[in-house]
Amino acid sequence: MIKLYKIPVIILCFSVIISCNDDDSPKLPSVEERVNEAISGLRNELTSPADGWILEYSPTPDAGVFFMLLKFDANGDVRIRSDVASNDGEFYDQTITYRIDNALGLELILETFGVFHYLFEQEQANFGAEFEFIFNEKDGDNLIFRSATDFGEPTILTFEPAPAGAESGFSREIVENLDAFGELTPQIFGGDPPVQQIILEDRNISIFWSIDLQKRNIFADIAGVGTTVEEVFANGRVNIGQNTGYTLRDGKLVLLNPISFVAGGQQVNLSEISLTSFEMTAPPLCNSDIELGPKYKGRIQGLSNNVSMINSLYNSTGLGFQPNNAYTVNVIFVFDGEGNSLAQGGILEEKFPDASAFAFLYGINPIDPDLPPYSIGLIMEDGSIYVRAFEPTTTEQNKVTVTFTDEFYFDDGSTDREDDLREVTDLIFEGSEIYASDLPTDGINVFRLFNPCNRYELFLVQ
Amino acid sequence: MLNNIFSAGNFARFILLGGLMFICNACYDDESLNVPVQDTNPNLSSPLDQYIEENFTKEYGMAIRYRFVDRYIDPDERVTPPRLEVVRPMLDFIEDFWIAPYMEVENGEEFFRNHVPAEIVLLGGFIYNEDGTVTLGTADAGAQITFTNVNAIDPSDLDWRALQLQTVYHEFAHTVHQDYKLPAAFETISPTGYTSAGSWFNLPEEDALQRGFVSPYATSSPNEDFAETVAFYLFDEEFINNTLTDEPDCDTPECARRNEGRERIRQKVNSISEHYENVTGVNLQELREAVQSKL
Repeated sequence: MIKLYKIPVIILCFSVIISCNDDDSPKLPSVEERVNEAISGLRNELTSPADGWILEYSPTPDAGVFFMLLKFDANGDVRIRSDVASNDGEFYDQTITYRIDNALGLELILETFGVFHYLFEQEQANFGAEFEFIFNEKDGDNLIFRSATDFGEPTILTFEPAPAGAESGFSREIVENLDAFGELTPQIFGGDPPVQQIILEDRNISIFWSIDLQKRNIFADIAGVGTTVEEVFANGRVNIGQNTGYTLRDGKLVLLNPISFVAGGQQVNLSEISLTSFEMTAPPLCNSDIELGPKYKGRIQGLSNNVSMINSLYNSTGLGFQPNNAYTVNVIFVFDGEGNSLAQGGILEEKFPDASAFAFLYGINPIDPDLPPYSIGLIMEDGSIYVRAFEPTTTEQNKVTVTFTDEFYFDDGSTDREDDLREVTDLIFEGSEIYASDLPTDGINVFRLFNPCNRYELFLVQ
Repeated sequence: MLNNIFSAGNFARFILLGGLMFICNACYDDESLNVPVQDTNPNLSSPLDQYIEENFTKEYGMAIRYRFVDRYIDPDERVTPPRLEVVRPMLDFIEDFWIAPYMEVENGEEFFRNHVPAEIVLLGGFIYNEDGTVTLGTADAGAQITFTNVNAIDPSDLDWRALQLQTVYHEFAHTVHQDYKLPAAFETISPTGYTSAGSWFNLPEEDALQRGFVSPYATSSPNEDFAETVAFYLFDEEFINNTLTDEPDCDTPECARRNEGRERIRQKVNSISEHYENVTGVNLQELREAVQSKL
C-alpha cells in the first residue's frame, strides 16, 4: 500500500521525466526568441503590402489631415511620400530608417529626420505630432498604432493597405498654391494665419475664414450677403465661429466638420470645395500695389458652380481697436517687413535714438489743448512728446485709414525734428491703410497693426 | 540531524523541493532575463554604419548615435534626430574641427584617446524643454557629448560653427577637471563673481566680463568657468583681441571694470594652461593654434 504522502512525489517524478522530453512536447521558446519573433512578425506585416500603406495622419484633435504613403522594406528603410510641401518639397518623397523596439509594447520608431519629425518640431515642438508609435492591434487588413509620446488621449494611426496608384490622391499642387495665400500676412510673434474670403459668386455670399496652413485647421469666422467685407457688414453678418480641420485629397479642400449657416435666407452647407484653377488675378491688398494676389476658382457640389477664394485682411479680433483711446508701446515693438525693429538698426534708431515709446492717440480728449487728439508719434526718454496729426477717422471693421496732415506737436519746442518725424510716420503708414488684430496677452489689451503695403507691423497696448 | 532530514516525511518533501528546483532549472538553462528589447536592425551594415564602426567605434572606442533613441534625452525634453544625409558631413566636421587638432599637437593624441567620451549623440534640431525654453547645446559632462542643430550643418556659418565648437570643447574640457581636479586656487581668481544656482542666464555679457568671466554661463560654477574658458580660448578667433587684450585709452568706470575682468581671465588662462601642461602634457596654446588653423 502506498502511503498518501508518497503520491505527490510519484506524480512529481513522473512529470519531471515527461516535462523535459523534447520529443514529446514542444519547448516554449526563450523570451529573447519570442521578442524577436514578435518584432519579426510586425516587420513582416509592415513590409507585406505590395504598394505600402495609406495613412491619413491627424496629429492632434484640432489639426487637419496629412495624407501619406508609407512603404517599409525588410532592411530597416521606409519610403514616405506625403503632401507636406515645406522645405521645397523635401517631404514629398523621402526614405528614412525605422526600427521596431519591444518596450511599452511593440514600438515603431522612425529613427531619422523626416516628415513626422518636421511636424513634431512645429511650434517649438508643441504642435503635437509624433514619430514613436506603439502597435495596438491588427484590425482586418489594417494595422492600428497609437502615439507613444502623447500625454493625454493618444493619437491613433490607422495604416490601410494602399491600392496601386494611390499617389494620384495627393493634391500637392493645391498645397503649394495655398501657401501663396500665406505670403502677405503678419509674421511677428508667431504671426496671424492668413484670412481667406470664399465668394459664392452665383449666390452673392461671402465666407471669411482664417486658415492655418501648418496645422491644416480653419476657423470659419463670419459670412453674409455681399462680395466685400463692407457689404457683408452692411447686410448683417452671420457669426459662424467654428473650427474644423481640413484635408486635401483628389483636388478638393475637404472640411472634417462641415460648416452650416443661413445668409440672406439661403441655407449654406459647406463640406468641401473642388479647387479647379489657380491664378494671380485677385485685387491687391495694398491699394497702391499693382501686383495682383492669389485667387483660386472652384465649385461646391450642389451649392455653387462659381466659387472664388481670395486673401482678405479682415480679422474679427481687431474690431476692438476703436477711437477714444490712447495706445502706446515700447519703441522696440515697431518692425519693418523683414521683422527688424525700427529702433534697433532702423529708421527710429537713426532719427530718434532718444525715443522710448511709440504713441497712437486715437481721438482722445487731451489735457494740453495743443496736442492733436488724432495723432501719432513718439514719447522721448525725457518724457517729451513729438506727434504728427492725422485726419479724424474711425475704425471700419478692423481697418484704420491714417491720412496725415502737416500739423505737428513738439511739447519741448524741437520743431527742427519735424522733417524726421514726417519721414518716420510716412514710412510706417505708407499707403495709409492699416489693419488691426488682437495679440492674445494676459492682463492687457495688445493690438497688432499691419500695413499690407510694406508689411510693417507695430504693437500697441491700450 | 542528518537522520531527521532523511526521515520518511522529510524525504518526500526533499524530493518535492528538489524536483521543483529541477523543473525550474532544467528547461531554460540558456535563458536570461536580460534580453535585448531593441530591434536587431538589419540596416546596421549600411555604408554609413560601417564608416562609423571603422572610424569612430574601433578607432577611438566612441559610439556615434544618430538614430533616435529616447534614452539619450531627459523625459521632459523634446528633440528630433538628424537627417540621414547630414550625418556623414557632421562626422567629417567632428573629425576636422575636433579630433584632428588633438592629433596634431604633442601628447594630444594620447590625451584624446584616453579621455574620449563613450558616446556622441547627434540631434537634428535644438532641445525644446517642458518650461518653454530652448537648449542650444548640452552641458552634461561625462561619457556623452550631444551636438544639437545638426540638420542646419554649415561649417561656413560662423554662428552654427561656434555653437558646435563651443559645445564640444566645453564638454571635453570637463574631463580634465574630473580626472585631475581644477588648477590650484582656480576658484579664488573670481571669488565673488559666481552666480547663485540657475541665475546665470539673467546676467548680461558685459557684467560677466567685468566679473572676470568669458560668458554668463561661466559664472554658474568653477567647473563651468574652467570648461567655458578652455572652450572660448580654443575656438573663438577674436578671443585674444576681445577678451584677453585690454581696451586702450580706458577713461570710463565701465571700461576700467572690463579691463579688470580681462586681467582675471588672463590669470585663468595662464592657470589652466599650466594645469593642462602638467597633467595632460598638452600645450593649450599649440592646441589653440591647431584649432584656429582649421577655421
